Amino acid sequence: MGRYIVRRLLQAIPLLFLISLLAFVLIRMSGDPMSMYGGNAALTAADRDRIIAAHGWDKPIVVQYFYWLRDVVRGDWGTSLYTYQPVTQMIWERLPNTLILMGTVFVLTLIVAIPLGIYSAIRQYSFADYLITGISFLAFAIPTFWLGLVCIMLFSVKFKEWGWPSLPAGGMYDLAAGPSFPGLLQHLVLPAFVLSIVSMAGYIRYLRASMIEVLRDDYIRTARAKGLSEGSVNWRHAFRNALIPLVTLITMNIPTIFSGALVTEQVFAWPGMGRLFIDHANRGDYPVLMGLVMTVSLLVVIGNLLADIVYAALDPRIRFQ
Amino acid sequence: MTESIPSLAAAPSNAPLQIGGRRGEIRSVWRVAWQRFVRHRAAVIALALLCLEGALALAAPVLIPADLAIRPDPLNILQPASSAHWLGTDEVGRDIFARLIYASRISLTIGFLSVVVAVTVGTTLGAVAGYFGGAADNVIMRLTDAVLSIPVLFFLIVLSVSLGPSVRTMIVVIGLLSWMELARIIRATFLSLRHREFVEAARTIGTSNAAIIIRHILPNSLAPIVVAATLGVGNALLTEATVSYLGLGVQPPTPSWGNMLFNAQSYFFNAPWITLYPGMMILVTVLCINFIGDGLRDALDPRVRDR
Repeated sequence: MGRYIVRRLLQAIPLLFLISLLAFVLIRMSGDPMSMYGGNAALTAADRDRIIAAHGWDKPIVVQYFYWLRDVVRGDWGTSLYTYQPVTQMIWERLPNTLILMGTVFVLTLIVAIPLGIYSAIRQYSFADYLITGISFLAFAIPTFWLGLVCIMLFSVKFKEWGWPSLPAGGMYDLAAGPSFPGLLQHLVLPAFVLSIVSMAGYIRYLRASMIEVLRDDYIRTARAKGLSEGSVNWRHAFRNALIPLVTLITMNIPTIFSGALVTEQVFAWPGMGRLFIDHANRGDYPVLMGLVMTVSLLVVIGNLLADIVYAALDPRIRFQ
Repeated sequence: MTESIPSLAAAPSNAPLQIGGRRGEIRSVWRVAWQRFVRHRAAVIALALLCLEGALALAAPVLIPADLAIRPDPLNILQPASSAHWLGTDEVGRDIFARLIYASRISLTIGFLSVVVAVTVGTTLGAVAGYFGGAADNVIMRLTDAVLSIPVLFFLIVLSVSLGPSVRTMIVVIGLLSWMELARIIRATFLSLRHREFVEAARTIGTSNAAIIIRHILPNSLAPIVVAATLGVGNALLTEATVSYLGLGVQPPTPSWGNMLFNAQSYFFNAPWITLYPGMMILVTVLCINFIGDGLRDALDPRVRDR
């Protein structure tokens, strides 16, 4: 098991290398860091050349990449070209916020989607099934950010206007009250709800299909034939096997959740990594952007690994080799 | 040859689909598929709605003066719906209905053309990987895995900034980031067919690899390509809207459904319609496309018909 994990992490290195090279070239092409000195009249042409040379920006991009890689391997992720803060510190401040949002969404999605998907399959073509399938079909077509906007408009702006108890429109804490757990929960409700609705849709559809498939299998007929109760057949025999493909879905979904979190953070002014990314995307602040891309990629790799371990635990046919 | 058409078309709906064989049979397979598609009522309504939307988009320059959608009108800002402005006006006095229709030209173009890019890339890579196998397969599938594990939106933003945000950029970038699923499907079909007798037969009479791929194997994977491409249009529309909403996609004054929402947050209180209509437009369009995709899957995939 330990060796399996180590081997999988080693296998991820070429992937991370490829992603970092691709990302570096694209990001370096996306903006000129010198533009931030823009119309600074105090800066002579000689000063500009010195700054460019000091950063190595006169070298080809691929050479710059290997400078960056060398520093990263030594543990130096560089400093932001704008705030002069160390990149590690900037990401470290934002990482927990993104994980809080994503973790909540993940748990909420599973808690709601699993029972609904299973129920929908067991009671196929019932009214509840049509309702659940219909809503998830609808949620599949909703732009996440627009659902966020509409929720803010309704639950924050309009509820306040009508004098009803309303939810905060954005941010993570009440600025006046300062950080507190109840404050965090209040601010978490809307973004977590919006992201969950959208990600639930996929899970419900998938689980329903998978459960229906399993319910048609021969061993389910056998279980029924030997007189097991409907509950026992559904939950002890079918449910556990229908759950296995779910793990694959989770794996495939991790990058999508990050993308969803990025835009949701923007809509709800949630101070996470996605917002940091958008704030610096237009400025060519490549140390920060690279740090973020690599952090997210690493989290995706770890997420995939965790999913595979769970997969093996659920399915006795799979063994680590 | 002509005899097989009525016989297949008249066959009971749950008869197995016969793909391949002579030309006339292939044509009748599509007719059977169409008859099956027509029975999916939601898909037919969705197709009609989408056609209407497409017709409006095409005819927009004739029906609605472009000025209404583009030129600010300071005397009429933030007007609610009225007979002059069916859906009200935005923060600089442009007619929202006109903007929605003009935006649909841009958004639908991006949606469809980016799928063309994705289908081209995905089919080519999938076919090469599945047909040749070996090293080519390995490299292509590693690449597919790599792109699949990338959070797409991050790269989309970087690419959009680096190439300069424009309609053309959006088409290329969205296309280049959404070919992976298709590549996998195509590869799987090619893997399962490349040693079948009809392929070996073609090879023994000296058919070139390219001809075998295009003329002999590819037609067998047309059904999954059509379904994936349809659903891909919906995804591309959602992606375009998201990136444009973030201000990194289609640039104003050109309207797109996404960038119409760019400033909406500032007018929640006074003009909620600025937020509501573009989003509903996206929702309805994507919903229609997904219904059509569902209908096509039922019509084309013989395995799902008994659901």
